[in-house]
Amino acid sequence: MIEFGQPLALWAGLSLGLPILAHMAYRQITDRKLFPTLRFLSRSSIPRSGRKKPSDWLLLVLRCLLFALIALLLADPYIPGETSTDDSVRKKVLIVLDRSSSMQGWNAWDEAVQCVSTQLQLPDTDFAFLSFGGGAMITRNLGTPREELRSLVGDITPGEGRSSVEAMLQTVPELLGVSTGDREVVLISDFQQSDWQGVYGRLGSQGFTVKALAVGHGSMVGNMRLGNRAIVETKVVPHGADEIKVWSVVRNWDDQPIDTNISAYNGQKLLQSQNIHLPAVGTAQAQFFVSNSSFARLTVKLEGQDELAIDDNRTVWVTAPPSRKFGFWSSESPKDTDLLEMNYLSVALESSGDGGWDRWEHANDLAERMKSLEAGSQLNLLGLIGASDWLDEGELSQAVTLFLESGRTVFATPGESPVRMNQTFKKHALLDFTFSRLEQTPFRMSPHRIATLDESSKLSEVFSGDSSRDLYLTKIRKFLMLKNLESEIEVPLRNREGHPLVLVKKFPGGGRFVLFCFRMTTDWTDLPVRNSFLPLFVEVCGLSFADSSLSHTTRLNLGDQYGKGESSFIASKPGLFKVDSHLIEVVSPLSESMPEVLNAGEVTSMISGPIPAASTTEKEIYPTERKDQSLWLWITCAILCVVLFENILSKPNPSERGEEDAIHA
Amino acid sequence: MAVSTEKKDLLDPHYLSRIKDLTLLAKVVVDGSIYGVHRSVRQGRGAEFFQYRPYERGEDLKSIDWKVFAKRDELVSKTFQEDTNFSIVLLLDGSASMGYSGTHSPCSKFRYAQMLAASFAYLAFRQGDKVGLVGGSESNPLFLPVSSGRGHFHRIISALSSTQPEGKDLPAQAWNKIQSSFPRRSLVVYLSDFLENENQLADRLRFAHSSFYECICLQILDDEECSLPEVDALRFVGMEGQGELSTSPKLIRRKVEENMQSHQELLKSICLAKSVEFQSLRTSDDLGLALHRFIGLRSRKK
Repeated sequence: MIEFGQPLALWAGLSLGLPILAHMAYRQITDRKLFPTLRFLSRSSIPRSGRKKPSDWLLLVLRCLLFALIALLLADPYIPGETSTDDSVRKKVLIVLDRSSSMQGWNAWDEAVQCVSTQLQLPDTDFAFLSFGGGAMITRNLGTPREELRSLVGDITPGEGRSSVEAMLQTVPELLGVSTGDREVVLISDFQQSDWQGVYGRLGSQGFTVKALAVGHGSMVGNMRLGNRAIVETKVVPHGADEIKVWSVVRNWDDQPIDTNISAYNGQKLLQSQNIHLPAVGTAQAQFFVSNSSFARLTVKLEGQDELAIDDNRTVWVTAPPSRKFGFWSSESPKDTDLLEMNYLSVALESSGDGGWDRWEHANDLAERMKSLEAGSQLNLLGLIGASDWLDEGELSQAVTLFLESGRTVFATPGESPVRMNQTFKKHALLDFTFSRLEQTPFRMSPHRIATLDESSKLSEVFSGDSSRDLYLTKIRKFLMLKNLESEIEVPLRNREGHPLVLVKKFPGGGRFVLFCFRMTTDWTDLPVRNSFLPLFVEVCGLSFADSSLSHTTRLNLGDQYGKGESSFIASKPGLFKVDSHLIEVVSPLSESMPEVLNAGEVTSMISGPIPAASTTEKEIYPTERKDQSLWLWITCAILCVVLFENILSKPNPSERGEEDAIHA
Repeated sequence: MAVSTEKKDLLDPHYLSRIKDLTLLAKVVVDGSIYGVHRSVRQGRGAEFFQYRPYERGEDLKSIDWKVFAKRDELVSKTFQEDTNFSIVLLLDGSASMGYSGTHSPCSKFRYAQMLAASFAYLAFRQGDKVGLVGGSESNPLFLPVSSGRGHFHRIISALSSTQPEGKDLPAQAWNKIQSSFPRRSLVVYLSDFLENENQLADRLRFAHSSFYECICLQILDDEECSLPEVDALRFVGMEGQGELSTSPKLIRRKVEENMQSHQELLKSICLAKSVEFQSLRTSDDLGLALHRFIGLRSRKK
């Protein structure tokens, strides 16, 4: 059956009257006639003579046919593809089943299975299946036998993760196609608000009919399902030398207050339990103080039953990492400046960290033992105070090299003789540069200032915004002017004239050697008394706790990824995990515990959007998917043929032309 | 002057135009037209006997040989051969306008003139008169001086056959040359449509003032030239390069007829002033009419 892309153009068929009018209002053809003389002739008006009835039927029909074909061509006729096949008569339904964590509660899963079963009983329908959320997506293509789908739904269970609605929406067109007739998407879900908001108009705009079946909405107040309580947060912090504090936040989403028990377990062993009062649609806290010496993990459980069980307990790591240790080396007979500097740095470093898992401890005994190549691995930071040729004594330089190769950090401040320090560093391949001179600024003159940090450096991230103000106000009155730095040396800090103030060299094992060109005393610089000092020191020396292998547990939501490459870890189920000595806690997302849901009508209107999912819409959105056969080429050929015949027929007969040629006026 | 119906049909241009051989055509015209119509052109006083022939009713009784009648009881006429120095000059217009042929005409004007000229030449040849052929057109002039004999007759027929109407009328210089070639005691037969140059016609006929010359102007026209074709509109193109004119023949027919008539009146007056015979012929007319005018004029000349 021929259809027309531009049916209004068929009105051009009225132009059929034009050739008829022209034929009937025929103007006499003025033949060219050779005549002996024109002197006796005079001009006159040439009369127009019409016809009372058509005289040249064939020519008239041909011209009418020509106009009809042109009108047909303008109407863009085509033979629609696949519209009359039996395949398009059958309804195509994609059953989309939510398998997220929240489907475990409020009897949602049982209702969902029942809904699927009901849908599978529809006659004259081809089914596809898609299950999303709570793990990998499960799909079955269009035309999958109903029994297979029933069996599949009976086997699967709700997962642990949240609904990946976005991924589902991208998969729907692949399963249901975009070019065939009546296509319906049946969404079966509890429609948690946090998952389904922001999907406005997605399926409707693609020409699908959307039908939403809400499950698990048994008892509700407004859009809130009743009867759920959840542990929404649990944190562990040190509490004294041997104790930790476990801190939990419990949420009651029910419209009734409730008193319940919350308990801390070490495995199956109950450590502590306490009563907690939960206000209606409110939050309460619970704290447990337990020893951290005898176990590594702790589980907090909410006693009693509610509508959703998965958020009633939370397991956390409780093993406290050891404090990080630092020590100093100096000459055998340290100067006052050396002692002053050591004392200052010791206090500053111990005060850094958060007082919890991130702690520094001065352990100079370990540093002394390191001189005999012992216990190097227990020290995290070594400071060479007043570095000079005393490093040549014994096996100190070898110990420093080993320390660096084990991935630790060494920092140095210049001693009394920078030249000897320079020679020593160069000799033991610690740092290669040339000492130029000691730059000193008299007090009456303006001091040296720190230059603007390189925007691409990590240091500029630390000192971004107002925090950089304090750094740039730092006065530097004395520093070693160095030049000819080896290529491996990085210069994170310079003065405004571009002279290096801090040198950093990274070693193959991950170690880092840092040389400050000034001493940490106020006659060299006021940096140690500034707030910027510790952040600068920590960043330059690479001592950030977040980057440390000793940093505390990382919490991941289900589906999140930790790390990259081969050592990456994907949070596929809740629990506690240790990846490369790093502690990871995987929790069910808080959103799955929230009982705010959308009703089916809201979801349908949201996901369908303003565009009605009708077949006409489908044609406009996917015009190229229908393999329509356009007839323009055939009609154009027909027009050319008609024009050819009309041209032949419209030429006057030679007998009518007289002896000579004639002109048609 | 009575001509049988059968013979008259033979002179119909519709019939004659089918005869391609001008010699044969001339014989048909002359024999069919003149036989018994007039006295023998050779008959004359003191003339030498030529031949007997059956007496035709209406002939002068003087021509009957009564002795033969007494012996054979049959009326025969006795004809005589007479020596003359009479010359005929055929002046044929060969311009392009002579090539016109109407939709329903038996032949073109030039063909009609060809047939007439051939007939006159044959008549002259048979009578023993000298005959010449001059005229033609600017691009294709004809000039065969007067002479007699069978060979000259065939040259004239050949020249007539090979001539086609084209170009414009002869220029004045050519006319002067032609006029100077006219021999004394000659009959000039001017065959043309006389549609142009009527102002020059008097000059061209000035030789007719002399008593040595007789002249007859035979105007040959096509019926459609006067009545115009039966169509609503036509674009007329002058055959001698006069340009084009679109008009409706229906609307201008009457006026054209009046123009043509006044034009012919003008031609007649010019000819009358020069003592020149003028006769207008149509291509649909039989050739006998023209032949009779010719013979009558020749008789007067003798």
